Amino acid sequence: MSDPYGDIVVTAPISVPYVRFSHERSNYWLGRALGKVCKASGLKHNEIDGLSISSFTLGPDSAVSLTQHFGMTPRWVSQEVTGGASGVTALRKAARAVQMGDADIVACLAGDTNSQDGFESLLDNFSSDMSAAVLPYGAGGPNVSFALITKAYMEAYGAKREDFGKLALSQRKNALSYPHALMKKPLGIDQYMAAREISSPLHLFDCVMPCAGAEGYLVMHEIKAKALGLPYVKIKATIERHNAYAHDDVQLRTGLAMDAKGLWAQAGIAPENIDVMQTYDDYPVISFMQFEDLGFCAKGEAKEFVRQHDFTITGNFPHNTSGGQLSCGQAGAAGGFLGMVEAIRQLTGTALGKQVKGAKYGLVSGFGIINYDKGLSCAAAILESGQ
Amino acid sequence: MIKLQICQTCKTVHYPKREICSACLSHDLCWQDVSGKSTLVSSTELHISTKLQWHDKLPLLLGLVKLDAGPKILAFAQTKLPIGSNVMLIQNGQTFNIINEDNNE
Repeated sequence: MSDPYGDIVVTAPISVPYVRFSHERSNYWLGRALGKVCKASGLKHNEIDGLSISSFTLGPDSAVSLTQHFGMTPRWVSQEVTGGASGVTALRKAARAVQMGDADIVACLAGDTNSQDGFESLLDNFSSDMSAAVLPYGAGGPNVSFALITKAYMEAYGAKREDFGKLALSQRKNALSYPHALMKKPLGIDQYMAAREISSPLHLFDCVMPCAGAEGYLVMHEIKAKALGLPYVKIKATIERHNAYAHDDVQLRTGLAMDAKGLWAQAGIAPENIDVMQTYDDYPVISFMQFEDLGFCAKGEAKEFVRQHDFTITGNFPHNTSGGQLSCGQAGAAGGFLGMVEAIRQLTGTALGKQVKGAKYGLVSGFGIINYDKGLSCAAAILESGQ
Repeated sequence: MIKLQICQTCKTVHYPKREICSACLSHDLCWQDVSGKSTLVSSTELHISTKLQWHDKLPLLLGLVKLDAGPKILAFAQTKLPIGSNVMLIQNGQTFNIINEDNNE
């Protein structure tokens, strides 16, 4: 077991409460996130010398233009392009920057706006492959790509809609104690099964609701966090991979499977040591693949894993404990930060909703950028409570 | 036959459109005839669209096929077919249609 990130810690998890629609630009959401990490840490914004930004709707502005908007003079900036994996990939870069001395404190922020026609325009400009090879077929966007993946996964491994429903229901139960979740009503299995079809086999409660919002956290040396009196988590291990298994006919596995062994070896712990897990959940099937590819069960056996575990906060496998995107809403790239922010809260005993008792180890995994037929980016981090 | 890009250096067939061959990094890609023979690898029935012009055409049957020549292509389908079916792909401007191979031959 190594200690790859030494004394680098993650702290000051913040969320800017989501709204369904916003007429503000994403600059507003990211700026509010910056204000919140400053308030949470007691730092002034010009004391933060590294800025990492993840956003789909920031264009034509960039992380650099934001330094002028926000009155910062950082000596390190980074812009994440990994969407649903950006909570982890931002952490990896920021941790190395601080560890190597290129910055002392990095604010990692993710946020997006969502105007009334915002999601349509996001889809229209998402990628050249999406525009050329998916949108001409009825403009179904990622629902179509994930419907194809979900259908092939169900056929290959025998997972049922009820299995996906169990995750959606557990997450909704978790969301009921999380103040910022947009979905505030309990969800029952009958309601899940009877929901209207979006793109078979996906129905309404398999899909996230686009919204506006932001998430963020700070990366710094442990000694700094202690001086500021901030609870923090340590980084035990991380992995990242893009365009894995390019020749698979349909995506039944993610790139996490390529690197999971190394992740556990680096952390020096095993899946059964994880007290709380946050997967990227734009659709339930992708959470199933993360369970499998990270080694919680064998390939194709997530359905049994799901049937055998209780994913609520008080259950034997606390998962997506703030409700995940399925119950909080998907605030664009902030969806890639939701699990990271919630993991930091759970591991520092500062959950906004129900607290997982005595959580020591957390796993955050991300998955992003459904370019055409596959999600291209994936990443995972194992975190340890600093208490 | 359908028209797709073929790498003139290593013969890899590409879709969607590429500027550089992902197998050998050649930039010598030419649009040439490729057989539409394919296998259906997944399918869906789409019920919602972000575009108004599609709303009266829903639901749409769509299939993802793997061409014998290599690439995967999303296409309109006419009937629900099981995964693994042998199908034929025909081109209609920017889009593709799936034809049941048995009906086609």
